[in-house]
Amino acid sequence: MDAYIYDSVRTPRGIGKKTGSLSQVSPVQLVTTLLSALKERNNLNTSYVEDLVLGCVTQAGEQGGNIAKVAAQVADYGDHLAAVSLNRYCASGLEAVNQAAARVRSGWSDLIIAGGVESMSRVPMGIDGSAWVMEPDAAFGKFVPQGISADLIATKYGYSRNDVDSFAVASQNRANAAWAKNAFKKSIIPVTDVNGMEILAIDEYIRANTTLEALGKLNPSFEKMGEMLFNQTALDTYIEIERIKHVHHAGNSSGLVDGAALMLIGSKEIGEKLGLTPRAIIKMGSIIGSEPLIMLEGPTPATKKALKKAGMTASDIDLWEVNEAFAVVPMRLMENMKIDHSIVNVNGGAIAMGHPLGATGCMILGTALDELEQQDKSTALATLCVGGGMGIATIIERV
Amino acid sequence: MQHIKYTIDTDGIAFITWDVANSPVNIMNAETISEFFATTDKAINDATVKGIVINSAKRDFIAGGDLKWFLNFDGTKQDCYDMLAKTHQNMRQMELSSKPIVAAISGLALGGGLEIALACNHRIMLNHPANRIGLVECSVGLFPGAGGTQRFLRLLGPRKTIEYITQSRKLTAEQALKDTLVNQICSPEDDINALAKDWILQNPEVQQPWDYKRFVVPGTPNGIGQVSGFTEFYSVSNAMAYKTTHGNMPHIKNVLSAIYHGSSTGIDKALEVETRYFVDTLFTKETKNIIRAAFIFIGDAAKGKAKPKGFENTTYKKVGVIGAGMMGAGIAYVSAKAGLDVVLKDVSMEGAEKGKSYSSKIEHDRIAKGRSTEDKSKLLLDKIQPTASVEDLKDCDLIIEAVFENLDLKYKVTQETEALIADAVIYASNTSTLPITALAKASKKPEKFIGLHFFSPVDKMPLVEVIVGKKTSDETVAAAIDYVTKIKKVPIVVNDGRGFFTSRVFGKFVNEGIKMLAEGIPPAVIENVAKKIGMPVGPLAISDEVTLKLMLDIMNESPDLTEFEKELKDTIDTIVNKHGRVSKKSGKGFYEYPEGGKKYLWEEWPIIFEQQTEYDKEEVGKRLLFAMVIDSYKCLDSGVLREPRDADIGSILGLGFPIHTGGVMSYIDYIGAQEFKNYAAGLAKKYGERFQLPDSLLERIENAGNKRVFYKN
Repeated sequence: MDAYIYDSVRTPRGIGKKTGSLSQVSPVQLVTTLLSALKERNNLNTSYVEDLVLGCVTQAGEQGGNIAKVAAQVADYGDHLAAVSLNRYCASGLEAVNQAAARVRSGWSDLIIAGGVESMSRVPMGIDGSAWVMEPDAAFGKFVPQGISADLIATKYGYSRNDVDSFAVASQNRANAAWAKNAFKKSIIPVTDVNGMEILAIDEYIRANTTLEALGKLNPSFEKMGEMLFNQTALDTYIEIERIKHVHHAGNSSGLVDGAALMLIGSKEIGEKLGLTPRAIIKMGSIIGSEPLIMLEGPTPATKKALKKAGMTASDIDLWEVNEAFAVVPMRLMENMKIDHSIVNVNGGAIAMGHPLGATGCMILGTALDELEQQDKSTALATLCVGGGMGIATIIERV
Repeated sequence: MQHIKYTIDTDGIAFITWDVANSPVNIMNAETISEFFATTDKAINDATVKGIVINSAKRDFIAGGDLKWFLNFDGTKQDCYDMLAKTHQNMRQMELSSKPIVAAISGLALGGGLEIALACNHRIMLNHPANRIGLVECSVGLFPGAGGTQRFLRLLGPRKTIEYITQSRKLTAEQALKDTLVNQICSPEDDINALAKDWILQNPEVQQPWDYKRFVVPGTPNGIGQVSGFTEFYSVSNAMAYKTTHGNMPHIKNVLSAIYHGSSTGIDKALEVETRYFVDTLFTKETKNIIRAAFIFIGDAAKGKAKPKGFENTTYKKVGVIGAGMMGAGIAYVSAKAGLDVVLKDVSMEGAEKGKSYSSKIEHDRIAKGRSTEDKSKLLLDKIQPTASVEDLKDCDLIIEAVFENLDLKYKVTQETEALIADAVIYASNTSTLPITALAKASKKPEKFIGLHFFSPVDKMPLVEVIVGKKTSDETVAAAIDYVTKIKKVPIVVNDGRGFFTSRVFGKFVNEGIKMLAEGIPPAVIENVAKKIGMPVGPLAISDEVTLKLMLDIMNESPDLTEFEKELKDTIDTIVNKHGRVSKKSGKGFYEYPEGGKKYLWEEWPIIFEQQTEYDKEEVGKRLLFAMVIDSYKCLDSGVLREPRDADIGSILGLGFPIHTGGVMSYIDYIGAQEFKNYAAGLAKKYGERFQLPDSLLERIENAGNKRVFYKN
């Protein structure tokens, strides 16, 4: 049995601060905006949708208490719709897709909506607290903030400040070009107000005129914190490194933004029954755990695992989406998998457009699907590095 | 009752007075505590008693628990748990009785002493410049086990609790009042007991803040972490504590755990949490090592335990310090600070003045930090008389020579000075390498000639090696130790020998580091591993401080180099003379020292020495430590050291050898004598005879069986 993607939608990404356009919109509203869109676009008989599987990382405040179920109720899909909120940190959105696909493939479910949401302006990252950083047994000598991990990877494998900044400039240029040619038009659902008036229709985080020179002037974000507190923890484990070179900053790391993304995933039969057009098969999904201190090295093993399970090799993949949590993460994957930048994140990534934590995984998979259709190519792989040392990957193939 | 006095006055106020028999201070041990709680129980249950004042008949309130008892505790974990639980029960009885209980803190209240006060409803502290309260257990490898972590937490919130407890902070009365650790200050002219009684009469019924139903630990959130900074705070405190301990100190991680978990539960369960982590801590080898080294060995040594028996205390009035360089200037400062007059002589008045200015600078900083006053500082500086004239030394009652490490110069100075000073005056040479017996050859009275090896910077480093020459008399040794303890340094007695103890053993550490570099172990690995195992600085960085050239000179002068050392000398010779890597001072050592920037390891090392990619981290660390440990044992074996404890003290205070191991000798038992023997055998096979254990040590290990080789506990 196969799991098909029938539709894929996302909101534009708003700047994740109180000045951002989507800070006036609740995370529930972000999700219901997309649920309404899926219903309308597909003329969907919602009584067939069984479950809403929603990734969300900071499940506190208005994202707490199973936000998926709240959104399901507000969206008026019917009382039958079940809903679950899950947290696999930055992989949550893709994890939701993988779980939905696995359930369809196993025959346990026929039609599921999966995706993710994160309003970083309204529910700040980390506000939910975590034993990971607080509890001595978990944190003592074992935890460093992700930025330090990213700088550790750059130091360990010799990525210079110029290398990571150049990648960031490319991300901005590509995102800008993508918007210029309307590359996201198939998926973007503008967020509107109670009157139907538009609040946001574009990814507002992009900085179109970013230059290498301008990025060169930014101070590294994690240097002070590292030297005061965390670098020693890193060096006690990675003893071959003399000192961490801090290369990441706000301009070459993912932006904090608000946004949501959803996919309609179901079996072949249900698609036929409801008159839906399948766009792609979800061929394989994988998840792995990795060393938690360096934390962000998961994409490579996750990718290898997914390819192997699918009986494929890297050369079988036409387009790649790797979340740009920090510039070094996609760069590392490209080097490890020996893939050319020309087929990776072709429409830019989170450095330019932002990383709405729980939503990103689903969002970049949707971007890959749109681009496959645009280029009339066949296969894509989306992967993300994940907090605490994990990696996730999903392979899709157009039908 | 032997240690606790109990009286009830006409107003029904009970006074429970600590007055431990045959002891200058009130110390808490099984006996005194059980008397104390028997008394509180009696007072609480006596219907005529309206309130209770806990005070002391001695200058200080209570100085804390008996650490020797903890070190020698031989019960089970359950015994230990039960005992602490009993203490908690007794303290909770005090808190839950509605009778007001006041602690009248008349002097120091440290550790367990403060913990008793914390279980009182009201704390009054006598305001005196010498008075302090504090939970200082972490400085000796433990943490507060009589409720201190949880009551601090409930008074201060986690931030200050962690700061004060992990840093063993002592507070003055004013600071303590500001933090609400005490509720009231008693000025010196007031009667603290009268104030205590007044408070009782005004507050006939009381309850502890943490026994109110709606009590919340200050600074802790109700569910959501970052709102109150709770998550971030713990993240920072964990990182900070790890950074300073490298995870080597179980008591630090355990106290963080006790505070973390204790903040989420009610007082009674929180006290259980404290006990659980305390018991775990007490049974770690590291904590026993720290108690033994820090409290017993170093504590005893600081009191002059090494002093030969049968000699009166020698008092000093005026010390002559010859040579006003770094060392001489520092010796002058610490002597003046201890109240001695100092004549600081150099070849020129300018040089002597410059030496004195070292003291002015330290005092200036101390005033800025509020640690001294203008008046006190002036008094101290006036004690130092700079001079260029040897005549000024003639009425000194102790001479300390600290001129350059040059035999001829030292000879000359000795003769010139001895011609002037009285016969009874001791002549001490501050040298780190030259044999005292050789230096004493210039002396007319070698029995009065001794070595005092200070460490740089003298005002910060606590150790002094008292070096005994062949002809140095016991009387001279005793008098020298009196001087060292007078200036509040820790003496160890070392017999004459090349490099004495610390310099010699320190050399082994640096040698091993350089050898590993030459073998192609990445320099960053050597440096990082050294720090990870608990050394303050890596061997390559410290070598740059000392200068490699100096080490090469010493090696060149040394007549009896081993094969290993000869080979290493050639390596060092190449490093110094071919590659020009000499020291930090020259800007070119194992590290590069860019102007205005941070030092970094010279990039050429991996080119000069082909890098190994496979290396054993554990072995890198063990080689550094074993090199020091084995050589220290040889010092003991050959009589350079008199007692194993001197090796432990000297290694911790002089070399920065990790205190959680207990020191160089304790280290053998720390990792297990059999394991030590086997590992050393492996190293000897791979890297040569320097790791071969001396026969006498093998024999001691054999004889010890599965017991400790060096100390009972």
